[in-house]
Amino acid sequence: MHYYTRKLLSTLITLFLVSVLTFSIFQLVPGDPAQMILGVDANPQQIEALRSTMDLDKNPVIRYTNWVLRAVQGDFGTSYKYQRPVAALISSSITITAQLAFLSLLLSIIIGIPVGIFIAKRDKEKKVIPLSILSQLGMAIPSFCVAILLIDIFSIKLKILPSLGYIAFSESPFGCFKSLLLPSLSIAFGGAAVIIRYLRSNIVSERREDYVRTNRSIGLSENQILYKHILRNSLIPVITIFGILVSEVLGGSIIIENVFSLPGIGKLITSSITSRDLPLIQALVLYLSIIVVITNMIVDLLYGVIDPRIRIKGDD
Amino acid sequence: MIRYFKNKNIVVGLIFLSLILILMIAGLVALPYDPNAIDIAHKLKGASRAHLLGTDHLGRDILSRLMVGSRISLSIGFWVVLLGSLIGIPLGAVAGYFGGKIDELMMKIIDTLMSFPGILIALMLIAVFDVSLKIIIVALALISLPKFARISRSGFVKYRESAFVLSTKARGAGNIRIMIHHILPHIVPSLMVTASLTFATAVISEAGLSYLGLGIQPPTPSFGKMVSDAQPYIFQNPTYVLIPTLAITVLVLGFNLIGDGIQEVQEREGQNE
Amino acid sequence: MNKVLEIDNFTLSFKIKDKEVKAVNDISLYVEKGEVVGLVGESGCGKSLTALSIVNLQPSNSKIVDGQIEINGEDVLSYSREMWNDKRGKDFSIIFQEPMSALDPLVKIGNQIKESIVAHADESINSVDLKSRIMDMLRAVELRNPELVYDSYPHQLSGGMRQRVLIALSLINNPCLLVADEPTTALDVTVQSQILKILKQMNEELSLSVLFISHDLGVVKNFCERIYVMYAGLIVESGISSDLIENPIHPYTKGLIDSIPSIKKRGKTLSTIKGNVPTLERRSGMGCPFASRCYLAKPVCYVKKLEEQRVGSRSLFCHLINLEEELERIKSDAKN
Repeated sequence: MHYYTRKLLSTLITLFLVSVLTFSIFQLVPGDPAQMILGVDANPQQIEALRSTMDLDKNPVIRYTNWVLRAVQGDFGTSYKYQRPVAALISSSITITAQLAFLSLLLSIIIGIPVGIFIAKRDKEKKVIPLSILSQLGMAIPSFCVAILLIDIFSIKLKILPSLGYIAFSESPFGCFKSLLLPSLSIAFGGAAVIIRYLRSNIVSERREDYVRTNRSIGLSENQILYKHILRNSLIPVITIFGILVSEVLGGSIIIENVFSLPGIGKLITSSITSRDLPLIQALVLYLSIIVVITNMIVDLLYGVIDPRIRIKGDD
Repeated sequence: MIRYFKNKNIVVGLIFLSLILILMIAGLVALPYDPNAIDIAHKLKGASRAHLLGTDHLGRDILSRLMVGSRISLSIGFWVVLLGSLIGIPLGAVAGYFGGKIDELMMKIIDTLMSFPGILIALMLIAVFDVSLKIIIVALALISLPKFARISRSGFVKYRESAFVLSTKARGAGNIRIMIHHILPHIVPSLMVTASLTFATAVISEAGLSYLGLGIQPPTPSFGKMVSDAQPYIFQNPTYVLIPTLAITVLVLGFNLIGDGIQEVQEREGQNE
Repeated sequence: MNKVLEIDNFTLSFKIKDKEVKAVNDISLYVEKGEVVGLVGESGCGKSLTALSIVNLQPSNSKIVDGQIEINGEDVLSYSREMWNDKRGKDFSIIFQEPMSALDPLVKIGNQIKESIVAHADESINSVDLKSRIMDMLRAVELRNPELVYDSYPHQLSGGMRQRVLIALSLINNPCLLVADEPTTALDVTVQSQILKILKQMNEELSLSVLFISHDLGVVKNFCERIYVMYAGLIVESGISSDLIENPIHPYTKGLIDSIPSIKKRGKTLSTIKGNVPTLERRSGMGCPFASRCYLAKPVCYVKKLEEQRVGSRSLFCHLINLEEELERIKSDAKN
């Protein structure tokens, strides 16, 4: 089968399984959801009516099918707490999370790739040791701790960046950037560390490859070899961790939005858990995992485009 | 074995880990104070002879809370690694050793589990079953399970066709015997790496959940909760927030370094072969 | 005499556990213009290290202790890093044993060769000329379908095709010297002879000098004009191919020749040399390194420094055999 078709098919299967899993876990909720929404004083007729509008009286397969069909049309049900369509709640907060995630990824890459190259290039020199330690710390310090330290430095001591709140892009692009800078730096600290470690070990192992010796034998300089050959070969595998990175950045933003009081998806999730707003949680879980699945698919397709070995093998 | 203790990463990692272990053991032997005893009169005090690491916003002894917190972090990490590996390794082994349809199916399920951002699985389970120590452990184990399964699978795939396995098979050894006695020992080091990194991830995730108030419930002390308690007082008593941060970092760094070290030793041996 | 390559008393050492060990020990050899010279020995005898040292690609943990390497009369060991980059691939080239992994998997063949031209061109060459020059070269190494190869990625080619590409890559700038480090060892026998034929053609048409390194005396004997036999970092015997093969004198050379399978020896057991090349750590650095495996060895062999004996083009390093007497004996044997 063609590489791309195979990847698309596999993505569809994963999406199906993700939805089944999300649906099933929420079937395990102890107690009757209708009772939970209406409270203890509700009379049996009211409960029965709500059960039927919520499909609770049907069998799980039908309920799942209806749930998916509605979800595909953008209907994720109504939030218990806000009494508003879940889709509307998500769309009002997704912008913030998307901006935060984008900026975090961008910063991770901007920091991670040059530093990774720098460390690999001066592999055995003493002056890269502080950078190596910093990247180890990046993996070990929780993002919310980084966030608090950054707030302490930039908001409390230097007073140059806000410690909470969000400014919309439409209101002030620069203000928006400033309000997201500390949150995304907190996430990027860990993200960059992941890239640095991975890229560095790739470069170090690529450098031992035979083609590098060939490159030397035709008289290319070490810099030419690094930038024209080793780097390309080392960066391709980095694309594969992009899916993991997106997943981590989204997970990280759930916590970081709470540190900085940003009204994004993460804030929505935590508040929906405290209020046990199940339809909202269910929709958010599905939504975020779909984003990760789609990212992984894009990564796979991109890999095929960039690495000729995969593209051609897939044609067989 | 000795070659593992010659590795710089492993040695430093073990030192870091033992710092937290000492803290935990000291707490088991004798806690300086009741970690939950409130003493508003002495809140937010710096280090003193009475309170070696000072007191928190309710006047509780930070050192005592840290000691109990380390017990929580370490036991969560321990159970998560135990559960994750006990389920993940056999799954991966079966998939990798037998291959074919079983492999495809299992890997698809593993991929699906990996599609959820880790913390989201935890939040989902907490939403459905309500917060408890057990649910946190189950959730974090569920997140770690795919990693164990993948590493175990790739090990079994690598060795199932190897000469020594084929020759053992030819001598009539059963599959289970081959898997446990002949293949598993070869992949123990890479499983140790995974266990180490999983422990670190579990500690960070628990801290994150507790920070959000969705993990260990007060008044039980935990590193993450201590950070969030301390956050508003960063101006009055900066050490209050730094102490639990440092504790998490040292513990996670310790396990990360041990994992890196085992991998380094492995790779070096692979090169020499 | 017009020597393209001349190595004099060259010694390369490694530091192993604070001990200096000589992996290449005081060797001298030369290659004349248009000559094909073989350097033969078992694996681990230092022939690849010699090859790599000629183009300054020896391992970074090794150290050149002594000696001289001259290419076209220039002392290359005094070259700066920039000089090396300038000369490598232009004045002299090297090809290696493993063609499968020797090309960048992400770059098309044409572009990899192009890079070698551009790196050494003084002025910019237009792309049409570049391509036609590369196509000529691909044809010269007898690649069928050069157009296709030009636009291929390395993984789309077979091992033999890749070795041809590597030959094209190393000869594209018309170097005068090619160091070929076991270029056919990893290939099938039929492909092996094709590659040898191409190298021979290049040698004749471009008057290219070749230093051909191999562990297989059977491959070298018909291909090279002169042969150096190397053992444990030392050249033990050298001479004109036909002479050396028919009348080997050094016990090691004899052993090597006896272990070549041939039709004449059909039905007989192939003789082998007992033992292995001693590892670097176990070389004493004194006496004859072959002594421990030699059937003639006497106590003197283990302690006394070897001296070169030379008669005409023939040279020998051995304590026990007198080269002149031995040659006389061979001559008189032939008469009878």
